[in-house]
Amino acid sequence: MLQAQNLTVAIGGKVVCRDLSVTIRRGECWGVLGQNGAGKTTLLRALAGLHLPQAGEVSWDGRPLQATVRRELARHLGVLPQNEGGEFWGSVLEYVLLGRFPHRAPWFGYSAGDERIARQALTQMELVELAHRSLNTLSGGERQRAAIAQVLAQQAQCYLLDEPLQHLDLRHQGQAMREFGKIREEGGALLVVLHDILWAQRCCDRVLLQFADGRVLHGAANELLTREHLEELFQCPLREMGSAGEGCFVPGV
Amino acid sequence: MSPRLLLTLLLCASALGLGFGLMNGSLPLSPGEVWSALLGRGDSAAIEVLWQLRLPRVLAAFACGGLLALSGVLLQALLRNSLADPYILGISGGAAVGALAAMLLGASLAAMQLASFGGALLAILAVFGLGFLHGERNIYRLLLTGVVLSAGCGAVVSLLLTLAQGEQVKGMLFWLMGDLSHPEGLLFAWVVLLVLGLCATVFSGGLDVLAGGPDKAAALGLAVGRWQMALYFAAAALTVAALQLGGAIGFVGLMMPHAVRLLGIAAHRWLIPLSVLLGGSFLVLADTLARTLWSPQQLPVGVFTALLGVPFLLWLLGKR
Repeated sequence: MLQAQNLTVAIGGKVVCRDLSVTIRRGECWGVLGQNGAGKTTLLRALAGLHLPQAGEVSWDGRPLQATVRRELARHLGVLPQNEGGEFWGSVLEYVLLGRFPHRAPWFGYSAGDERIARQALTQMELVELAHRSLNTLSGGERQRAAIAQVLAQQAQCYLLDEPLQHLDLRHQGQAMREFGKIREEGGALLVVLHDILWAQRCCDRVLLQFADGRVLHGAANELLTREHLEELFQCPLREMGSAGEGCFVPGV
Repeated sequence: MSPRLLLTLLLCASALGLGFGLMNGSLPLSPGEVWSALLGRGDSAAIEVLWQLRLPRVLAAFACGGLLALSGVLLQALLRNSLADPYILGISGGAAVGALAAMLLGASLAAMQLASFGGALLAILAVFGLGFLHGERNIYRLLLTGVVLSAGCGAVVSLLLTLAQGEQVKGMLFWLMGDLSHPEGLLFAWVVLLVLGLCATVFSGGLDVLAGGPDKAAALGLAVGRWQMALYFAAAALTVAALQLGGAIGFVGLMMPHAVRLLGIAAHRWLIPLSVLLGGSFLVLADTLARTLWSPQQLPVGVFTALLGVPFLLWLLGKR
């Protein structure tokens, strides 16, 4: 589906990923881990075609992203940015409906079908009661759930999600990860930037470790999520709790 | 409030506002007299006043209000800043420098209109060139360029005002506060308003998407760069048409979209037509009061837009 070939990405003169070749296939869930400032967001933006790489290219079904019409791409590729940085004055439902934008005609409004899909996404993120509230009155966590609902309403085949679990309480973190799991079971693919190693261990079959020096390691989650790799990745000593291989990592304080 | 109900109310308000504007003036007419004069019957003086003076004037006021409101909506969407108004990017500053310089030189009305048009055009191109074409497209850069240019024009305007002589200063102040007594390009203004208003309403989905920021909008399939450019030039054309009609009338472009939003309408599909209708009827009302309250003395309409608008907006804000 989504393929990066010899991708080198830089921002502000700093190389955040060097010579990366990776293919995201149907039914895969990728976790992206790395320190603050390692360039996870920039890499994700490059994979989404929103940041021009220094070298190499990203393609969707064999076609380079730069040569694909954005509108067509948006029907297959859903992107959740970390910060939207916009103002939206409308209701939660109107906000989630925007996820249907690539599927509707460029003129006129949204169809009843679009609204049904948006309401279904609201149900998935437990926001039905807030559907007619103004988006500006929501709490940080509720707003994040609305953003996830919007990207779910896009009904894409592949999702690039930048810290989807930020601001979410434990229950809604689990809820979101369950919904992502369903996408995977239905043959979709995901690449998710995470800070919690636990979710990467539980829900991702592949991981991509992005080191501060621009090196990127990727492969099967159970092979790469070892104490040695993670201590180097986060540059801090970690303790493994629980039985080896199934344990969880906590920082040694 | 439901958008359909509001649309009906505003359509009625527009009709009432236009009627009010046609009835009032130095020769007061009753609704019946207005109607027969419109059909070319009855008193010839009334026909003359209505067709030659009042109808162009109320149509100019309505178009000007609609243009400013639409320009405000588009710029607020483009700049993702709810404090944006039609004059924020320095277009009115350029026009003011052109108009005032022509007045100072004692140019004719036509030359003054041409100079203000030229000044606005220069400002549009300067802001576009410096803000848009320089490397990566950055909306803050565009906004800052416009604000800086506005400040520069403001200084030149102050200088011109200081240099001007007694009677000239009054004409200049009228231009700066907005004055609909010499509407220029009425047909052009209506064509711009109708064409761009219709286009913006039909393609309003893109404006909603743009509010989420450039990344989100691109991820949802919007050609962000092209949209930003189209919005910039559309807003510029609307502002120029409004400036030619009535000078720099304040308050309407910034506040009409907010008034509609405060009534609970956010989707651009409704926000655009409702803001245009509200802006149009509001300016007709303000202009009619400006020319009748102290008659035969005519007051600058910009004074009335603020005097009427401020209490209305404060009331709306208090209600929410």
